[in-house]
Amino acid sequence: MEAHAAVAALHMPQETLDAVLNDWTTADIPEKTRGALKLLEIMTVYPQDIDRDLINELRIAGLDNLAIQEAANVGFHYNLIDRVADAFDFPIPQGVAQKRLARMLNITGKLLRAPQAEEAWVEGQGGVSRPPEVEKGRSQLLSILGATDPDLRRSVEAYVVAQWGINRDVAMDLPSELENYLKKLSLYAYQIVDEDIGALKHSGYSDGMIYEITLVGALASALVGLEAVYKNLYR
Amino acid sequence: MRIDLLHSEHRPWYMSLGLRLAQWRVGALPGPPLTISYKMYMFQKDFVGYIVRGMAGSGGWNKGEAELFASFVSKLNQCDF
Repeated sequence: MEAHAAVAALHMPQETLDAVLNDWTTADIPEKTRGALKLLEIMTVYPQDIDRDLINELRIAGLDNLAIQEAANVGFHYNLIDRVADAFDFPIPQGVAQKRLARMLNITGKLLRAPQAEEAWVEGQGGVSRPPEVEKGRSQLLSILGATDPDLRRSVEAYVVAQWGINRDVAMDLPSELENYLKKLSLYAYQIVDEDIGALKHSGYSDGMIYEITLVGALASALVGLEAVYKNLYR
Repeated sequence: MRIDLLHSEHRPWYMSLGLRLAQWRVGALPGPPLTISYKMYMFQKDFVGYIVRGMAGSGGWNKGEAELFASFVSKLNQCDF
């Protein structure tokens, strides 16, 4: 079991959790929850299939705009952090350590004061719809002074979204070792191994550069599904 | 870890303290705060608030449902995190 399943198990019967993770289509859960799981699966696996029919289906299942938007928030977050976790090889606590981590995550979640969710979106560069906070975060990550040139970061973003069939008007070519890494990061990050990061280091990329490239690549990939949700939800 | 996220000149002291406490309690450094705080200046604060909001449970979803969604997405990504 991974850490977030352990936190979820603090809030629901283990058999419900297992049933959802085994097959959400047949699990004994509210239709609203099933609708959210369908959205998350499409966002994660085939985001290009998100359309107005899906949004209408979710509404019939009982999800209003905020429920769709905030389920998509979690999907976006985990499509981002899972890629970073695979790329950097986050330690995964097991056994007692995992139970302690689950309790800590649960308490931290209650203590953190989060802003209230509102129905809101902005039109970013290229006519793409995003949550206002995400547009600000993306803009800062792409433009702020760092170990890599902002032009390189924009090219990384363009390369990553192209893996999902989306073209952005950015013309910079990337070196082959970077393309190989970004392709894995976008489409099957779980296959990233030490040698992939080693190849980047061997080509002269510092830890700081790999950090920024990975963050931008993971963000770009996670944004594909979120942008598709916002496009069909609010426009 | 494949890059050295532990040593950062940009990490605020309170994040270093929190990470050490988590390491003492859990026995491992938690990846997300370790990653964000490596170059915290790159993260716009409203963006961080947006992510925190989703994980706390919002839009009618509770904390347990948010964690269920997180776990489900990680499974789809074949990620153990």
